[in-house]
Amino acid sequence: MSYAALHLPALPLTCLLAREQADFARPAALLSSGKREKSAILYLNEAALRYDLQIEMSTTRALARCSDLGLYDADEKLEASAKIEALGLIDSFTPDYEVTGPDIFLLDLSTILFASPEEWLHQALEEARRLGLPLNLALAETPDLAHIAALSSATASSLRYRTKSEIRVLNELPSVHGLPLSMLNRSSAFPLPEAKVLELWGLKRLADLVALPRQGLAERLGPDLARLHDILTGKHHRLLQLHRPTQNYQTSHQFEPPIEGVDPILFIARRLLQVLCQRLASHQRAAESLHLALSFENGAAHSRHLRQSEPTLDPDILLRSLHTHLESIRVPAPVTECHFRLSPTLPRHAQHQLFQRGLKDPHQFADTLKRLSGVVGIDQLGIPQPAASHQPGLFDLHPLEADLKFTPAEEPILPSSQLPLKRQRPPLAVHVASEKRGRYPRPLALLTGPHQGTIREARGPFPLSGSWWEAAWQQSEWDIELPKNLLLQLTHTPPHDWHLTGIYG
Amino acid sequence: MISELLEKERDLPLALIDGRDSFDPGSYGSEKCGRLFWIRCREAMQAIQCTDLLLRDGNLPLVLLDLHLTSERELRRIPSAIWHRFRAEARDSGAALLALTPRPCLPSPHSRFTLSSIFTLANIERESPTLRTAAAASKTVAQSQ
Repeated sequence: MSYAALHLPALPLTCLLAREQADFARPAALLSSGKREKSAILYLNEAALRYDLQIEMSTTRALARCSDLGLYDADEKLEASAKIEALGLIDSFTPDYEVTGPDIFLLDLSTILFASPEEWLHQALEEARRLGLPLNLALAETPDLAHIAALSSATASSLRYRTKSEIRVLNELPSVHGLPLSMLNRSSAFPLPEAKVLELWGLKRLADLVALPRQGLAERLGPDLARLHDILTGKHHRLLQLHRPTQNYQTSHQFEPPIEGVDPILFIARRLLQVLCQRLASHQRAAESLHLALSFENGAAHSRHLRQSEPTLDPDILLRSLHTHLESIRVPAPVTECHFRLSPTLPRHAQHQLFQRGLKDPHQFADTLKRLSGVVGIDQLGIPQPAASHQPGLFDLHPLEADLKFTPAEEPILPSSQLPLKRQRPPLAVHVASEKRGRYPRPLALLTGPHQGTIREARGPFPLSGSWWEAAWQQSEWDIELPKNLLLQLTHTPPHDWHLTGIYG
Repeated sequence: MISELLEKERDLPLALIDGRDSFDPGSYGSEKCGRLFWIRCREAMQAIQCTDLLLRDGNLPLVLLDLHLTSERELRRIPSAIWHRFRAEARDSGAALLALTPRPCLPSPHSRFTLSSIFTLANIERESPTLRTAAAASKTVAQSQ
């Protein structure tokens, strides 16, 4: 017997009954949330099933059939803690198990040594007493046969609570073929949409189904029935999807006495991150981000989420981003405790393009971007894009990510002139000698500023205005040529302001 | 010069360290700007720090340091040892540094070019191919020292 199935019938309901020390022999039902009159039944205990009650039946109808029915509302926290306890129990039997459903667990016993199946069942049920919940435990050659056997107390050893807990171990393992077809409805793992057809054919037990030719079943009722036939005859042997509990990749260190400066933190961090990375590697995971939390002697705290450019298992890379961050913060008092947490993700497997060059070291580049932000400011670097506006000098600056992904706007914006302008930021106020010709004054000479002189030639005016609905602006631009082929752009803002806005070339 | 460099399609963006925050995205259009990583600096020493970081990083193959509009006084404050260090860093990381300065001030460049423009007002409105010819003409007066 290589597989065992542990079934906790109606676990969300029985854990409530156990908490309230209710009698398990009394019929009870767990209701859906909402008003009681409109609620439906989600779970029934074995005693309630004897009254021909069914899942999804309305509460009113259920009470009409069984006036003694105890009604309970779901308690998600209690259910979760009961499930954790159940997983702890199963983990003590074997580390290889599958969480097949909310109340059924399949155990791989191929690596477990035991004298006889009866002895193992007895021992397991004895240990299961600590849960305080009724359960079925069945052994079989295949996982699905064990699953079906555990659905009924007729084919499974069981632990029940009446006046006191009772263990019943089956000495001979009965065949599941004697079970009624309706037993399959207790688990969603064996859907039987053709149940009515089978009933019309006069099939009542699983043995009746097994007796039918597989080929004929597959032709008439589809491959699902053929698969069920294989399961019942022991020909279908699937692999378990083993459950692995979620790991916490976090650690902390207390400094005694409290420390000042970055170096001691980095010294400890290297050791701690190395351990965390090894733990990640053993689970085939990589670190997506590093969460740092520092506690200070004066009660203050600092925390930061350091996202990595790509998943990594290299503690040096994590340490580098940590170093960069620690250098950028000011600590208000000596550090008493540091805490590190790595967010796990799947490691990245990417093949570089043959004809396309990528970044040599994305982690290094992400670190450099942070350092550049520290020098010039986070909003002073990125990929520039001219703004879709007539106001000169407007642009958007998109942050450059370490993976260099940037999608430009769908409608490209063309260059404003054929000669690039070197823009003066902010525009430099200058005195200009001008003459009034028509509506706009015409510049004749630059009297102040870095480029003074008589204007040899001028093109303009180019009147511009906009945003009349909020902060209205209005100006006229002039392109001027000074001696020595110096091309400048001047802006006139009514009534008398002139600004040097840029140099062409 | 920047326009010429941005003309070429490349996998990685061109890093422009703008020593006087004078780059005008509107003059280049959205397509060319999409291939540019612009770092806006207010003073020369900021630009030098950024250049140092990018050359040490070595992920971007071409770094353009634009000190064209930087004042003579600020340029004189840059120690010449910095340029030697940049050269060593660029050699180690495999990146190339192109520095635009108003006068020859790099002590030991791999190559040095002098560019002089002969643009007139008419060039502002010329069609792009004509301008390229004019830009090429300006390069003909460029001398390798």
